[in-house]
Amino acid sequence: MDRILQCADLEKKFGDRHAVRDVGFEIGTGETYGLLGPNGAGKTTSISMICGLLARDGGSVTVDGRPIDVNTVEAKRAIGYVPQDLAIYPDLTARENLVFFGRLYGMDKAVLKARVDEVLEVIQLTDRAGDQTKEFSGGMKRRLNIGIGLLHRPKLLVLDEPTVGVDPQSRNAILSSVEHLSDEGMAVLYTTHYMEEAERLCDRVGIIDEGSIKAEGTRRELVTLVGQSDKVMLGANGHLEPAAADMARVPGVETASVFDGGIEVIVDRAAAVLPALISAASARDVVIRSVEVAQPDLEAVFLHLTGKALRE
Amino acid sequence: MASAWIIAMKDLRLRIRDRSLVIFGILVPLGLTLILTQIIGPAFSGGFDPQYGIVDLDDGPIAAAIEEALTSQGWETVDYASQSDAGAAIDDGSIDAAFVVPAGFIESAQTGAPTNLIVLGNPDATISTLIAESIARSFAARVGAVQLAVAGGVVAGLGDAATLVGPAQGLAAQPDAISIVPSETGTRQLDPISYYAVGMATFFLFFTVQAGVVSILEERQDGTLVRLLTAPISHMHVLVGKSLASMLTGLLSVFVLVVASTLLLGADWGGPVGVVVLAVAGVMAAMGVGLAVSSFARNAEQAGQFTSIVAVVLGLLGGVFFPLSQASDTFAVVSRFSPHYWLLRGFGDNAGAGNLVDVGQSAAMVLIFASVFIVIGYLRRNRLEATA
Repeated sequence: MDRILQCADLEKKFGDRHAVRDVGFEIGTGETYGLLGPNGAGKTTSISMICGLLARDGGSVTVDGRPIDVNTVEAKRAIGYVPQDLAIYPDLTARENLVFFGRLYGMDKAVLKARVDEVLEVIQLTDRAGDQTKEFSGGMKRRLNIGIGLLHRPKLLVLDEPTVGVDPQSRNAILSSVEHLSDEGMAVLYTTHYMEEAERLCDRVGIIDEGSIKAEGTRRELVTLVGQSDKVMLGANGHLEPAAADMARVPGVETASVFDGGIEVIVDRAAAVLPALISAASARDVVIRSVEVAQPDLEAVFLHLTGKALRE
Repeated sequence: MASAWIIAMKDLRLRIRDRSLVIFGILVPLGLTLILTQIIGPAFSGGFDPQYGIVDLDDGPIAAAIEEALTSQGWETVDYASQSDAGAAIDDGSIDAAFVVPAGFIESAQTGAPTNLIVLGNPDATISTLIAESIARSFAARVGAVQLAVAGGVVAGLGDAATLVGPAQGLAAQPDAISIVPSETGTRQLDPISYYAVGMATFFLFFTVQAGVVSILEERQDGTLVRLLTAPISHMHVLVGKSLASMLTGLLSVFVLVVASTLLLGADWGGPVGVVVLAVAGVMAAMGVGLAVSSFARNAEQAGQFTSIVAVVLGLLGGVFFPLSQASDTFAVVSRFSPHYWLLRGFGDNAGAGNLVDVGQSAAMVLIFASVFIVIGYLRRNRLEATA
């Protein structure tokens, strides 16, 4: 997998305050990397340096093998940037917005026309292409905001909290669009403070807080880092105590205990042991009414690493 | 530079689409030209057409001489039988001022006895009254000269007063040894329509052009500047593109005003070369002021306020609303620090007897002004682009 983005030791100070310190990560072709952290953690400052919007005080950034800073021109062609705030012209139509930014990226007229039609299709705005965007709903504006970033087929697409303030339907549409991007081989850097988005979209996640990356890896690697196991909650009737004792002897089960109305079992991997747990219950004539599996999530990881919740 | 052109065309489309260019760049200045010409125009130029009354109670040559002095300027005179008749005419607005030559005036002049030449004035026509007073003083001075010559002749034993009056009057009638000839100011005087067409075009040019410059801050506020700065174009191209759009809107506004005021109002702007030179210089000055002033603002609203204040002050200082001929000497000197002053002067030269060298000198002064502010704006450009 080719490395599209490589950044290392990024540092930015505002006065005496370190906004970002020692931030570094890499993203490969077709990979979606999430920067997960609360507001003010340093996500936007980091990507501003990566996109050459903000001068850095230390570190390095290369995109598609070429260094990036605020004075870079050509190398920026490899980047598509979708800012957190809407960056579209309300008095221009959706098509005019796309054409304007496409021309800034030097796209050939014929290629641009075809690509604009294609992007309008992707962001589901084909039938509103000729309308001024000030008439659009918030979700439509958000989709156009993303469409402009995609237009020139960047090798690296940077999305800064693209679903903030978006209704659930539009949010789902945006997440679906991003999921398809990695299929097309695009490297995606996605910042969010929504744990569910990071879990759904990202191949790897960097957990950022107070300007530095606290941990990085796949979801499972991060969960392992915390050391939590899956929790299986069996709603059941019958002789629960002997059944729980049998379950505790199943390989992969750490503990099994009775609670009011069922049995709670802590296991390494729920999917691997669930059939054995159900067999053990049947052997003791225990009737299972419900099964609920709770896996440790990135919220728990963040809490473990920083001592605070993501949305604090 | 293709990217700068793309940005400029986008801005131009937005300015036309939101109608601000048409309203503030064309309709408002054209309308104000028409209004100001009707209200203030007659007070200061070729439209000045006072009417004077003359009451000749002396039945001598003085009233005829005053009438001749007035009619030689193309001003109308009306004879009245009494001072009260003339006063009534002033009150009802039929005339602006009146001269009353009292009975025995010429006899007093010959004998050296004290006498009065009376001027009646309309308080609403101060300029006409001031002119009447000035003419009366001039006649009084000549009468005084005759009296002095007669008295001197009598003392010197050259003859009695009756024989000396004739030669003394002849001497007093001689042309002045020193005469003042109006020169350059005459070439710079525009007629009211042209004056206000030029004045309003210049005044609103600053608003039109500066609105374009302020749009950098609007883009910063709206988030689109971030997107421009992440595109593969240099920051300078963004600044050049925005400036180019400002220039084009400014020039478009001036040229539409030139054509419209000429065809609809009969304004005279002079030769096209001078108009183009001065319009470009004016646009550059407006752009420079806009860039420099905006760089001190925290946001687009504040920049809009700052640039409007500066445009109004420079406009007033430069005489776009009132001719500087009516201003104090100090104000006249201070006004030279306004680009509007030089633009009005340049357009005056262009429409009058001035040549392209005169126009070029005014344009050069405007460009010096523009350069100073463009440099300030350029040095502070990071303030305009700051995305934080």
